[in-house]
Amino acid sequence: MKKKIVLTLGIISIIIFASGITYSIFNSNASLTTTDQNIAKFIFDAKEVSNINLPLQNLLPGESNRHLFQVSSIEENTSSEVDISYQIIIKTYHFIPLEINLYQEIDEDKILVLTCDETYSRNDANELVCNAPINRLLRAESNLHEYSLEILFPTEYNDEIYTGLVDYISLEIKSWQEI
Amino acid sequence: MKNIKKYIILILIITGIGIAFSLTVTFAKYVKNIFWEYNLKTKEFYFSSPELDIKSKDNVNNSWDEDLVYFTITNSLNDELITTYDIDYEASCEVVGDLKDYAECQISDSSGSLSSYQSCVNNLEDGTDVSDFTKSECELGGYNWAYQKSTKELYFEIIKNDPEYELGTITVDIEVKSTFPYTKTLKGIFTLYPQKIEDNLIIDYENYDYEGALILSNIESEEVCLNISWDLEKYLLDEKIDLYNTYEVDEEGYLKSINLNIMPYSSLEIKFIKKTSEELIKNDILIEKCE
Repeated sequence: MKKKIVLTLGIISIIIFASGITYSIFNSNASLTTTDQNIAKFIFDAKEVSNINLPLQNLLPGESNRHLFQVSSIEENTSSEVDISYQIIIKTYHFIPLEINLYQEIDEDKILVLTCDETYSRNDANELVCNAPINRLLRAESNLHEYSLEILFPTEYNDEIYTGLVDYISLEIKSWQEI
Repeated sequence: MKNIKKYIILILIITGIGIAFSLTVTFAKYVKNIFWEYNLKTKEFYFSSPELDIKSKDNVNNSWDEDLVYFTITNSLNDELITTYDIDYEASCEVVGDLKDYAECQISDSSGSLSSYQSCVNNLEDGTDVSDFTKSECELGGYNWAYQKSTKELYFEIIKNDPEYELGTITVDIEVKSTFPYTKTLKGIFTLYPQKIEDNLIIDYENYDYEGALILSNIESEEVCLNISWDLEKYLLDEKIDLYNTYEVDEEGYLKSINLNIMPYSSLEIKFIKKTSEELIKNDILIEKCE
């Protein structure tokens, strides 16, 4: 009995409410604008200041070469907006007994960063791998670091056995964003 | 039912943390690597001498006339391998052996420099004389502007302490050391057998790759008869039996001595085949006048 009453009430309610409903839909468009979304810039650059290639092809004992380069977080007046860490890595076979010194030049001062010699270990390719300490370019500070790579062929290595030797030096600068 | 509630709460917490991380912290970062590579090479060095070597080289003069003894130093190994920079050197000589107290050695240049230089080479072989061409003339003409061999002739002189003293075989050590930019020491031993005219007979020796020659010159108006024998371990005679008056052979049939005549004012060359790489020297040949 209860079921019948509920069923009847339900049908009546549906008829009443359904008869007053319209299926038309109002559509409305509104254009919204948002402020520009900025992504922090990562700018890291390294430039050779001097040309190193020719003098290293014809080395004689007592000769030296100074190669200047810069690392910076500025490019065309735009600075990096993140802190950057970087590391300079020198690799060489060291067949030629060269003295390889890396200096950081700050104003008139030269700070020895590393001397790439046999105290460093060799990799699987038998390259002597000299890792400089990690340095940072902070967005809030000076954004240019100057370095000089000085290569000296010491005069004491003037025996004939040191003639006609072939070697190479690679200079790798790895940089990454500080988080 | 309790377990389901637990799981729902856990899922909500994890989802909340994930959303919080993704909206606040990022693990992505920028990286950039820069790489430069430089090739290195030390210069070649071709300081050498035909008469000298790192391991002392023997030089024999079988008919030294007590005059100057020459030798050369150079900045090259051949036409292609030429040193491209100046080489400074020091040279010294010393009489060694039994005669060191009776004579001393003086060298022409105790120090000096082998200068490198470039000139034009006619690689086109078109008959043009390019020797006076400047670098630009040379290159514009399509010729080679190249480094040239630089050679210096040095000599030493034996000074007798007593001018009347007759020197025998004298041995001289020569040392030439490059001092800049690379060091290399070249050494040589010169054994000088004085040329002697015995009863107007001049005896000389020549050495070739596989042969040695004994050259006998009769500078008198009379015929000279000689007995000649040699070290059979080192030499075999290049036979010309018709030249000899008589000869002797060993057990294996090789000539071991000969007897011959040399006509007045004439020379005779007797060739020996070398059994070793050693040079034919005076001590290996015995020359006696016929009795």
